[in-house]
Amino acid sequence: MLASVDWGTFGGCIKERWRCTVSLEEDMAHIRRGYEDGWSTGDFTPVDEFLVPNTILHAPIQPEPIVGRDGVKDLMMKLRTGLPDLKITIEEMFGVGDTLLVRYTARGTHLGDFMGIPPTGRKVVLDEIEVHQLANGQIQEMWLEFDAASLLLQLGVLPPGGIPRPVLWIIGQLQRLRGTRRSNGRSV
Amino acid sequence: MTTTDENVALFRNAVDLVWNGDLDRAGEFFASDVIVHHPIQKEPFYGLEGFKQFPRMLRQGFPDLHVTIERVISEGDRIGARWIIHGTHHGTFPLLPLRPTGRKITLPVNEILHVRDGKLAELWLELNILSVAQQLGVLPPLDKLPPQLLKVVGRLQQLRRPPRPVVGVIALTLFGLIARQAFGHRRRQAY
Repeated sequence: MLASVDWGTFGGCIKERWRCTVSLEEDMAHIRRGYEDGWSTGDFTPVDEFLVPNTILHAPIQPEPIVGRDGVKDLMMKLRTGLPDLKITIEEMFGVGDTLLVRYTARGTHLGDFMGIPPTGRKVVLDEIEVHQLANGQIQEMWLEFDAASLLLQLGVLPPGGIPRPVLWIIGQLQRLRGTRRSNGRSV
Repeated sequence: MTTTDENVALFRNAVDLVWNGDLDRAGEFFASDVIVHHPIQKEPFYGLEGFKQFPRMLRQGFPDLHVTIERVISEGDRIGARWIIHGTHHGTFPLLPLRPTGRKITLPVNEILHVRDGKLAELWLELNILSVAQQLGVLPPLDKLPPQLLKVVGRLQQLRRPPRPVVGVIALTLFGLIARQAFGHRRRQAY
């Protein structure tokens, strides 16, 4: 499980452009340690070091962004409760200036309560890409993307073929019904 | 212009002229043997035709599809970007064959691209397909899914039964949720 951070390219980029400083390299090492250690040991104290106190996390399963270190740590705890053996493998990490991208794979087994779903014992593999906005070596804002549909499929909450056509048809009819009823209401 | 500036320009052109323009111009920006890693299927898409599949599906469902770039950087031969798909549901999206609802959707994408010989050669896209179903009103937000349903689903999975009953439960619950919305409306009107 070795993260493929390409330090060679980084050396080159330091010579090439002033914006790509040594500190970004340090930040990356820092954040990488935070990711890998935090996730695999469940000790999220390093999180305080690499997040600004009012950090903002935009994540697919959260309708509203999470604000603050504690919110982020809460979410991490919840994930680790649901998937206690959760392991993060960083596949790729690079950045320029104040922007850092991380592509990683999360692997875990659903052995605890997860988003209200009791343990199913299923294995989950999720590919994720995260964009970080840095400020003074800490993460100010994070935009995480992964496919929540794939997560639900793997947990068996969504049926294997996706939502069945008849259900979609019924939903369509109901939506149309609501639409006509509304317009009737307006005309009366 | 440094290589990285060129890469950023390459990405911007690919978005403006291919995603927001003509898919048949993909060959000018993407390598002929491009590999596209995509959440919608386990195996990557290969080649220009493979690349075109996803934008084509999106255009079928959202004919006014438009992409805006939030942020793009390049380091060495790599590009990182966050961009947003905008569209109105006036057609049928093959991944969710629902009759057109006329609803507007926004779908953010995080992408990493590798450049080879001045062309985009390998792409990793991450986006949340589930949010399309949620924005079109097919599924409620995850935190609004009834906990009872999730419990039942979990139990069924524990028993390792074939997922058929789960399909039934989900179908019934979806039906119930939407029926409640529809009939709740009528009830309010009656008073």
